[in-house]
Amino acid sequence: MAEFRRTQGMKARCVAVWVVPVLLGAVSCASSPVEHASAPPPEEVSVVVRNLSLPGAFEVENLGPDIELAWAVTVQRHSKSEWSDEVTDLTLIEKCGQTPPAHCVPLAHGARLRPVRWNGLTCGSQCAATCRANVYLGPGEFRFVVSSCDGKHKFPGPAFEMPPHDQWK
Amino acid sequence: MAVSIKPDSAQIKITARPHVNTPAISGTSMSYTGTPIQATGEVTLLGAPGDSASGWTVGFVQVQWIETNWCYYRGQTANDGSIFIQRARPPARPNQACCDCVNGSPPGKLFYSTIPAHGEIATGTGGAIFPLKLTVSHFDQPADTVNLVETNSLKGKPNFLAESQMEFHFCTILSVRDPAGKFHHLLSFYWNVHWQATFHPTSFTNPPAGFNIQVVPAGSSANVGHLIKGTPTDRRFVGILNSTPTQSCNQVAAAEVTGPNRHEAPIWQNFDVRRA
Repeated sequence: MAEFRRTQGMKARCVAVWVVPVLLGAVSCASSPVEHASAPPPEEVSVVVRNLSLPGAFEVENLGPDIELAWAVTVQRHSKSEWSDEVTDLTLIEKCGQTPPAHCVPLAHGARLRPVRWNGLTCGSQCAATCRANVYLGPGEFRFVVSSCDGKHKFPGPAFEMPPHDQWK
Repeated sequence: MAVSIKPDSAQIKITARPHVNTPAISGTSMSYTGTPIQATGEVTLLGAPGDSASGWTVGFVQVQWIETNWCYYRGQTANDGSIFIQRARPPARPNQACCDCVNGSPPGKLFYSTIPAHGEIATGTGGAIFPLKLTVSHFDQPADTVNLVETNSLKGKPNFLAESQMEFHFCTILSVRDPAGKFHHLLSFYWNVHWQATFHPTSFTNPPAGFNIQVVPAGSSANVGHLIKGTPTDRRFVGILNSTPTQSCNQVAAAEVTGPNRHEAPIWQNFDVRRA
């Protein structure tokens, strides 16, 4: 929700932050004071991960050249000033039942993806799945990290709060 | 005085009892979901000033000891054939019992989750003050899916989900692992989730527009047993507690989904669901 309330100027600043996402891995758009003069040149890799209004909902937009993204999305937890990976089965799936891609997910310049919302679980993170052991990871501060297909580029999204399980709707 | 477990200090409180939802369509699958079971546990360690609680771990261990998991498909007409998919018998599932631990937590550690952020284990430290109460929490929300449509290779026709049954039985144990690595299983409870339903497609397209879903009441429930003191002696799964498991139940279940026992017939045939 906060993402949609931003002005164009704020958006441009946010975009610039993600030009070097690996270096600025822990910086979120929402809180970054970093200033840049202009949007990145189109030849530079620039993928933005935005949180949507409901906790666990997010979208991915490619502001750079055409790119292939990894199907799996990493969930990270913020704890003791560090981001650490959680093990989930979160992916870029946009609709339950969608066949996973054979390799990676192409995302053209300017295109957006809205994956199915994360439900906070380690197993069946978005759609029902075969799960016996399963843990709800909230409450806590989390972020999503989308990766390029080759894994060389990481695109962390801004932090968001996952509520306790009984408050997740 | 060496550190020890305070007798009868183990406590479990079930804070949320599971319920099963009516099976529902999710994309091209029928999903079997429910609400979670949640519990808290505590154990008190005794020791003298200067003793170290380092190496002592309290946590939940969970085993699954029964799995029923089959589904039956029928074509639009009797001559379109039928399919019986059995996931819970060998070779698809070599053994009923397995060590249930979350993805990312090694089954060889036996604990449901050794990932500290999950809160399923609590560890003692060197500077502990005794008596030391260690508290942990437990969460599980089992689920599964089956395809809405399977192609009958004998007839080249789509066969539609007609009936399925799933039963997952667990035993959850509050345990202590001492610095020597020995487990002390103190308190446990059994619980299970069951789904059974019949299905009829509202259209014979692939995928169908929808399904009429009739829950079989006697086969649909979630149950939690009473607390049982002491080390479990149930021969149906005690071997898991005395071993170093190499596979988790999630891995066992994933394998049975990938490679189920599949029986096809050229007509609408009845299958014995007890068989492999």
